Amino acid sequence: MGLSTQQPRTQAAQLFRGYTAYTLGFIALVALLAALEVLGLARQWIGYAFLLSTVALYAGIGIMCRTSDPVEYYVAGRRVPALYNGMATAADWMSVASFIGIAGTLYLTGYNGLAYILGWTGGYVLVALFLAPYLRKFGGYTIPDFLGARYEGNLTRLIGVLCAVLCSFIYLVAQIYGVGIITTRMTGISFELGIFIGLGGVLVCSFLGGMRAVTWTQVGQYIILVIAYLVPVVWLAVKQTGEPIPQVAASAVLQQVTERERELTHDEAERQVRALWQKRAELMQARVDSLPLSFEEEKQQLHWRLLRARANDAPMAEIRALEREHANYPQSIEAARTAWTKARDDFGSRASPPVPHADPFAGKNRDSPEAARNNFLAIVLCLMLGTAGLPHILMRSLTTPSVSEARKSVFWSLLFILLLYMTAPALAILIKYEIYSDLVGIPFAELPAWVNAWSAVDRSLISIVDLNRDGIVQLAEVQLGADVVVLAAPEIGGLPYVISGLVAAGALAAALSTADGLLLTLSNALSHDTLFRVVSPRMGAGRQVILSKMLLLVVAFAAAWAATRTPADILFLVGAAFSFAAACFFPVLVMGVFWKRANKYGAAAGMLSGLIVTIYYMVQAQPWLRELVLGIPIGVPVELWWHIQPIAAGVFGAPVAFVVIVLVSWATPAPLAVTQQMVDYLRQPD
Amino acid sequence: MTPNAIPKACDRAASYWRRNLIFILCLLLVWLLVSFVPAYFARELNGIYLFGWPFPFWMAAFGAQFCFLLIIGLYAWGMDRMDRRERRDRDQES
Repeated sequence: MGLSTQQPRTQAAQLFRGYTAYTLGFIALVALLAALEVLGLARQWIGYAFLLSTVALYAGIGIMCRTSDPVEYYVAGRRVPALYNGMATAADWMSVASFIGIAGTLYLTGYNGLAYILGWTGGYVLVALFLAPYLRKFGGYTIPDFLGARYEGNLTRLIGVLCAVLCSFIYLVAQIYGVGIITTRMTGISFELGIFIGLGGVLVCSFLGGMRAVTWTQVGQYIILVIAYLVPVVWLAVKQTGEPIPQVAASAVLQQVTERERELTHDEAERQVRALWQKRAELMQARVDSLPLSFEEEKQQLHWRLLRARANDAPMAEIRALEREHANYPQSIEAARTAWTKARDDFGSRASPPVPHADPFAGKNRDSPEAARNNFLAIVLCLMLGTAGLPHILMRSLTTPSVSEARKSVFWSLLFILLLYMTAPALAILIKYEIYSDLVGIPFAELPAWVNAWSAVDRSLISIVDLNRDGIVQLAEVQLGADVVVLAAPEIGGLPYVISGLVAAGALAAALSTADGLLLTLSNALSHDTLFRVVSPRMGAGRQVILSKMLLLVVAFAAAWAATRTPADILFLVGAAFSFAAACFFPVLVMGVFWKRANKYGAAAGMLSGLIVTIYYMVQAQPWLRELVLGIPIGVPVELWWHIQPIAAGVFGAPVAFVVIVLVSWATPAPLAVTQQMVDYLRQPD
Repeated sequence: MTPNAIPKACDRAASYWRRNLIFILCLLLVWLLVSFVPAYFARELNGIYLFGWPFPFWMAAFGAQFCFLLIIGLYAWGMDRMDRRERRDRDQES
């Protein structure tokens, strides 16, 4: 695969044959496991089989593509056809958050969740119009390479390295954390072991073959992840409506979902449960208000209740619950304030009626629709700019054979991404329909098996409590975590367990492919851009590649170490990476091509000021980060600018960067004639 | 090579770049129109239905994405044509 240096036509035919065989082989593997499941193979073994066989497949492709030639190692020899480059970009792009998180977010937030879909796809328009063709025309190895050449020198290159490391490392930690979670759920092995098995698969690939191995593995990973995503959704669509196209099925079901939401809003039992939640929220508010006095009081009361329950031989489950509560009691008054404020908000949101799925900006929180709209638009813009600035995505335009292929490759990337992103809104609606019609209103004794199975894995995935003790499930008693929508979809649709394994394998592919691309970006930024270009420019090509590989190992282990320390908030981390990319890279890259007068001083000042504004907004608007950096307790209300959440901090950083680039460039001398000629060269056809 | 070949080449390069910029600007306008405008007026447009979907929801979930794909495809195809013509002219002159 991809090993030949023959004519493009025979190469394309060879690639097509290779990947067709690969796809058929994978389908045969799934069929074999399905047959074994019927014969009685244990669920855990199906998980092991998927984990080991897919990681071995990726490692195998990596070994086949091993190389130590710099052009092969950094940019896959620049002969990846647009179609395959598109597939690899799609896999590179779709992280574990896209695969598992997005349908769940849409389930929970309805229209508001579409901001992510809109932002993450619209960014490709910017990539195609402003960046991909020119970066390919320039033809370096990395994005800091371009900055160093266009902005004359090492200052901008080093700032570029700093930003690339910042956003890629944050993103990588989130991916590796995802790998750990999936392997644990798939097979039951420990989180740390899961991380190291996954990391092994990533490393064999990128360590041996660099960009070349990563590209051809990503194509394989894309095939697996798209099969894994579409199979359960199509099944669910056929089961509910007889229509195989999920979007058509969802449009048929949406009407019923909306109607049911209206019914549930006025239902007597639902209102009763919501009133109970409201009472709990008020109790929590009272507790928060009477801090610090209530801290000791509540502790004493809990202690007494536990003693009394033990003395009265209360049911085991009740004693267990009290013991757990006692063990998890907040350590300090400040911790209690944080925990109780959060509990108050949770109860409060469960006390409100369901939000109509397709209604724009109708949130459960108390924000006005205008505030929700501002926030929606800000997230869309920030994700678009971030998409067009993430170095591991931009790097992919360097691997195509020509400028024309680079433009086409963006088209194919978006097409392959849309296969999944257009299915997610449909999946969310289909699952909602299933929950409303098959779960709400049934007796607790008849709960479907998947509910118990997934709540045993993790109570945050799904929990149902009979709050009003009527023995019937009310919607307000059900709490779903975002991840369960994709993870449990096969079981909700009544598919065999082998499909659940397939979904987990798909999620693993999504996490590993993104981790691959990020690792390579990071190690190249550190070795090629820092050590080779800045520290010792006379290093030989062979040594450069070896050094890159060494740094790859170091970065991989550093990220794994960071992931085992369980970062606070995965979604926020990913959002932060996009904000940094939007503020650091997008303005400076676009200005580099489209404004000849932009010089190195403007570029350096623009990147730094964009970064600083973004970090400042994040720190002052994200409560836990603010506590970490400034020491202000979490309970103090935050001050948002125009109601924009900290996840979209890049919308402030990027315009500041543009303005600073223009002002500083005007105040300082114009770039050298050579540089201006280079810009002219970039603007001309091949 | 004639004495005025260099200014002529410069003119051609500038005109190629200008046409590219206009092309980009038009497509960017479409991008703005399909992504941000329906989202901004989402509450006002919510009564309109399209293929059984409320229009703003359909637009943000499917419609805008189709347009993005179209924009990128159109740009790739249009620039390919422009590049080919440009290369032919350049070869004819030299």
